[in-house]
Amino acid sequence: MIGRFVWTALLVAAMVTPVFALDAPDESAMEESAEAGARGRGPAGRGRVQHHAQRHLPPVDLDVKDEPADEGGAVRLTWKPCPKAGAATGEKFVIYRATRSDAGHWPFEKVGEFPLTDHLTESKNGKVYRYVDEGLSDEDAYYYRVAAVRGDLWAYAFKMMGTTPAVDFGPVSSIRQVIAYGDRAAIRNGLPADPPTEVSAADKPNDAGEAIIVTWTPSKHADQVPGLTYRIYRSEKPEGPFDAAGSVSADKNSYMDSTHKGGEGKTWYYVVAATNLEGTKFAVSDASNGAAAKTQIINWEQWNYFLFAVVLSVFIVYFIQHIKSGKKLFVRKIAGMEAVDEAIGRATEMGKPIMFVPGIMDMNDVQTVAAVAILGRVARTVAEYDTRLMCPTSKSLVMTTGRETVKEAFLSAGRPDAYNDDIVTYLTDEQFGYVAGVNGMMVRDKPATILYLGAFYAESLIMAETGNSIGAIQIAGTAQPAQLPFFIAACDYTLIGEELFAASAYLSHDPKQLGSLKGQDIGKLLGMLGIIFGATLATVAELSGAGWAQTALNWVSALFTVSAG
Amino acid sequence: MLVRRTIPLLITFVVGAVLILSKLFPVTSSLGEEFSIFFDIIAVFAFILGGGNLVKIHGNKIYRRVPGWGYSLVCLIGFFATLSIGMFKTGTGLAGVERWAAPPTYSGGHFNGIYEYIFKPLAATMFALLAFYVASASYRAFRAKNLEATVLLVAAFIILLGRTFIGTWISFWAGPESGYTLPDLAEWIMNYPNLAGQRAIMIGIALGIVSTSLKIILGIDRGYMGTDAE
Repeated sequence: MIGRFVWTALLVAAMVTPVFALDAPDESAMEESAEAGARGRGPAGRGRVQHHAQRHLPPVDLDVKDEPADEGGAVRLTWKPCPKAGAATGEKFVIYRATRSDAGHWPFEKVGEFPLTDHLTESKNGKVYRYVDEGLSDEDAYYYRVAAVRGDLWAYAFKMMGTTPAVDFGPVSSIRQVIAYGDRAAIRNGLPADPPTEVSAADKPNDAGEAIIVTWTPSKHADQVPGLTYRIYRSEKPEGPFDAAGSVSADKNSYMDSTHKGGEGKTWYYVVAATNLEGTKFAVSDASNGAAAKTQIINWEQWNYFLFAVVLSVFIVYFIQHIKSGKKLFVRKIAGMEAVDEAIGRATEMGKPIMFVPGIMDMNDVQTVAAVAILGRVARTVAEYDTRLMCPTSKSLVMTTGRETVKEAFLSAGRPDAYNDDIVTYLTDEQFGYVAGVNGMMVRDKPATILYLGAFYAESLIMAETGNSIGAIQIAGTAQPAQLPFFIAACDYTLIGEELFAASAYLSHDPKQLGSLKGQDIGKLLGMLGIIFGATLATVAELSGAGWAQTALNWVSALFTVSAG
Repeated sequence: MLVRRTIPLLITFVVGAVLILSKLFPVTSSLGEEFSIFFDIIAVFAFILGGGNLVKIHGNKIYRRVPGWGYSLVCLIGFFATLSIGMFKTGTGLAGVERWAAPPTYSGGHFNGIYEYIFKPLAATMFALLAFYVASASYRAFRAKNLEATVLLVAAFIILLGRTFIGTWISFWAGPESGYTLPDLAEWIMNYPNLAGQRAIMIGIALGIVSTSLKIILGIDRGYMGTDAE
């Protein structure tokens, strides 16, 4: 046990030693290291500490802000000595600064050096060093390192602004400090556009307290700034400091801040800045009113969904009861489904297999669910006819569901002995790999009947034409409108859209399912009436200008409007 | 019966009802994402079954030397080669923990090479076949056998020509501003008769989806379970 512990300790020591044994790099090495640091900065990107030559510990909590209440051109650095007790913190501090060059790297240069006793202030938070770097340009972004140096050894804290677009704007201050300290004019830098006005924040309605919507009046003279962008910043206090929340293009005047999940009830204030394409010039608005994201109990945007679901359910239940009471319902013949029995019989007579292709989507697609339901009906007939069934699938879950379905169908047909797992097989998830596999099976086994039922994309015609070339009877059905013409052109029968969903009920001859078909028809009737009523109202409103017609039209429009929420 | 019928129906009803209500009550709106995570977890296990099925089917073909067993051999070699190269991340130049932590698609790895230089050309080849199949299917579909087929033929003729430069050339009989050039007519057919037809189909599909979903949630349609037995 002790031996294992010693070995582990040695191993850890061996891994750690190279890091701690580095000598202080020269200036060129620092530049290279800075680039690496810049590339590797994290999402927050607020600051990082480098540990080269780490025989003593670096400064901590380095923060870089615009010097407040000035006319620009100055940046304030603050940091603390390493708090570790007894740590050798160095003999002096050296300040390095870089601007982003055109070549995309950050060559650091030394801008200041002082002993540990200078620039030191004591506060309730302990020792804090403050250093003001002056004579800067308001056009550039600056990055800093503060190194604690002892002899030829050094360790430094490295400060970059975030990785968001906020990185490059203004002097290193970024807009948050500028706004915080009230010298917005200093950073305006002659942007020809005025700041956005009337910035307003409000809770997004009908959600779970996740978003706040910010709106504003666009900047005047925005057209004079090519590539003008609005950047949105937020803070918990109206005076700031503000953090970047997002940006939108010049043609927008609203922004939805959707990052409040879990932070419900907290009040936020927003400012909107108009910026130029490079993000170096800003015109910043006043702070908005405070707004908090709140959870609503009911999403009223979805009321029409709910109404339709209830109405449709009522009709479906009514017709199920109606047909159960022994009354007859007329159900239109679906030619494709009428042909299923005939096609299976043909395959039986020819001694050839039947192929069922359930599309390329997974079980979370309702078309695949409908296809698997039809597969169950087809499998039952196949079992009764004692014909061979092939069902290549493109998703593993469809394969497992299909197997259970076919097994149950064979069982209910009284032919469990005829079932084997090789009826439903998995080929590949890849779309065109699946096509190649299915086409290969068609050409080799020459099925007499092929059914394509489910969700299909570009592979539809490749498969259907191959099936056509081997002389199979083909029955297709999909709810992909773009693929319907291909199936109509290449197949003998095609179930168009809703017929795919009706097919399972149609094949089952089950009163309950036929009742649901009738309920579906009532839904269509309501849709048609709505279209006719809405078109009439729109015509009347347009021709007469009557207010009541417009109001009624708005109601009908709201009833049929599909909300993304 | 309880395990094979009642419990699946109960799960279907509860999940379906909760997801419908989650659209109405914002506090439950994240349940859709939660359930899709469950779906992904189940799909991962099913994927192992799928891979196992592939190996079993093709292994059997090779073992029995059925006609065309050579293709099965190529399939299995490809399957295991890609799997092992992806798992061991060969060619990435990484070692130790980094190697195991890197994604299989790590730049420069052999897996990437297989994807870029074998898989993508093969998939593109299959996709390219579509051009020839469109031609052969169109040839059959556009025969003017009856009135409907003739209307289809004329509409297709206008759209095909209207979307090529030839459509503009041969529209000399109508001025470019007249709105009656072949490109204009093609645009009109796509925006009005075609769009109206598509919307009618889409409304039917939407209602079909609602009806199918209700049937499945309420346990009326049990076809996906293989039988309608109570």
